[in-house]
Amino acid sequence: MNCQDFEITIIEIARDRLMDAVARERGLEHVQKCASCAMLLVEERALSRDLRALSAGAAAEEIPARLETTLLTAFRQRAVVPTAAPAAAGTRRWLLVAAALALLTFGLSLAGLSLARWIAPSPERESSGASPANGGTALIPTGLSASSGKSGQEQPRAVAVRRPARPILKQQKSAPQVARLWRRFSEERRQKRLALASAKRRSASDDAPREFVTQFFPVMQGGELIPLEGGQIVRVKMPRSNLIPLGIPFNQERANETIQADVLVSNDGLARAIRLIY
Amino acid sequence: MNAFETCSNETLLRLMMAGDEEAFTRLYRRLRGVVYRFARQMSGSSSVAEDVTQEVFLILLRKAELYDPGRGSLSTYLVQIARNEILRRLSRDRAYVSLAADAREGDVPPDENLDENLIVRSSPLGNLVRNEEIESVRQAVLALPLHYREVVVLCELEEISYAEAATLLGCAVGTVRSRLHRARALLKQRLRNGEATEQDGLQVNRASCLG
Repeated sequence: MNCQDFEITIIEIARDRLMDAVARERGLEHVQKCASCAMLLVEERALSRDLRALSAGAAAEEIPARLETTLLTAFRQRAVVPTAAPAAAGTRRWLLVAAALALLTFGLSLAGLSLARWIAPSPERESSGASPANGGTALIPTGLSASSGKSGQEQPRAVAVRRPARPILKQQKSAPQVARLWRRFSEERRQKRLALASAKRRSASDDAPREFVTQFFPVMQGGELIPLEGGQIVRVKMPRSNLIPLGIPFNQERANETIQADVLVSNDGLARAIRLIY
Repeated sequence: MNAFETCSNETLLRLMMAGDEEAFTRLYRRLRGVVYRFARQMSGSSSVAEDVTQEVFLILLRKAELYDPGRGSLSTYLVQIARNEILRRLSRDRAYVSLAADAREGDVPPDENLDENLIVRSSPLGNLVRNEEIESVRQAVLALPLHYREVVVLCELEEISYAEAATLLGCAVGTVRSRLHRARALLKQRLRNGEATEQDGLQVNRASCLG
């Protein structure tokens, strides 16, 4: 053992506490050879002796009796109500965990409830989708499913599934299932929004009367074309016979009928061009 | 023999919680010493030690269910409460640990407190010298930084094991060992020269061991 190793064990040797017998023996052997470490050990032993003396003095010190009297009074005034045993501190943690789990379950139930409300058919869908033939089936919108094979159109985007006799929530208890359903719910909501937007666009184009327009024919003013600086298009309805001075061919048999046209009117108020609308 | 004498501290605590006054008295008499001495050595004041001891047992009365036997013995738990209480008091009012004030406090004279075996009765002068030495040790312990002082009080004065002290202080056993090592170096330095800084103590200890 060298001096540095001795430094590690010197306190234990000086304190006369239980320690590794081999380390103690080697330490004492080192002290025989090293004078400075021997001196150090003497100092440490002196300190330990002083500390023991201090400890003994403190142990002999009287604790005031009034302290016990005060505490006993407090104990009696407290009117001790039997409480849980100390071991209950451990079970209290379990209670906290159980409460946390219950809270989590409640939260998942709420999420599942909203899912169930979404999955359950609305009255309109139920009235349109459920029929005596299919009995307990309902149309459930789904962007993930294929469109109905019978209609061959995408518009309904619904698939007939059997509605469970009990609420769907009851069957979907596990967290992964709920998470999966929630992802599906979000995805389908997005798909539904997109489908609605495209349907609106489609319906808007379907409702508007389809029209075909010709190219613009120039209208000569005084036998010459005046450069156009600006103007606006005005839709008018006029007799087909008015097309004659413009030099535009038309069906003579329908000369008494009217026709729609877009007239390009320049800023000076003169008609500069015209196109026909059928 | 009273049946309570053979009961463990935990059993007495359960009985106390059930309202048994005798159990509380027994428990108090068993554990008051370690709490009071710890507070006394840490604060250097008998009045503070008395207040802290009272507060510790009042907390035990009010919140006995907070004690978890799995985390240590009841005495360790109470010393831990005492330590927190002392730290709170020290941070609140440092005048309580003023060494000069404490020296004038008029506590029980040291010669009435010492172990009879440690006193050489035949020499009044020797007694006086020895008492002065012990008083200087007490002052040196009180002058230690708090984290060193509590290790010295627990491991040297109360003779608590390193592992138990580590649990009580919330640190590793190695930390307790190293703090004790440094604390003893500081104590030696202070006792030898009076005033010393922590750095001085460490340097002296290391230099003296290089031979």
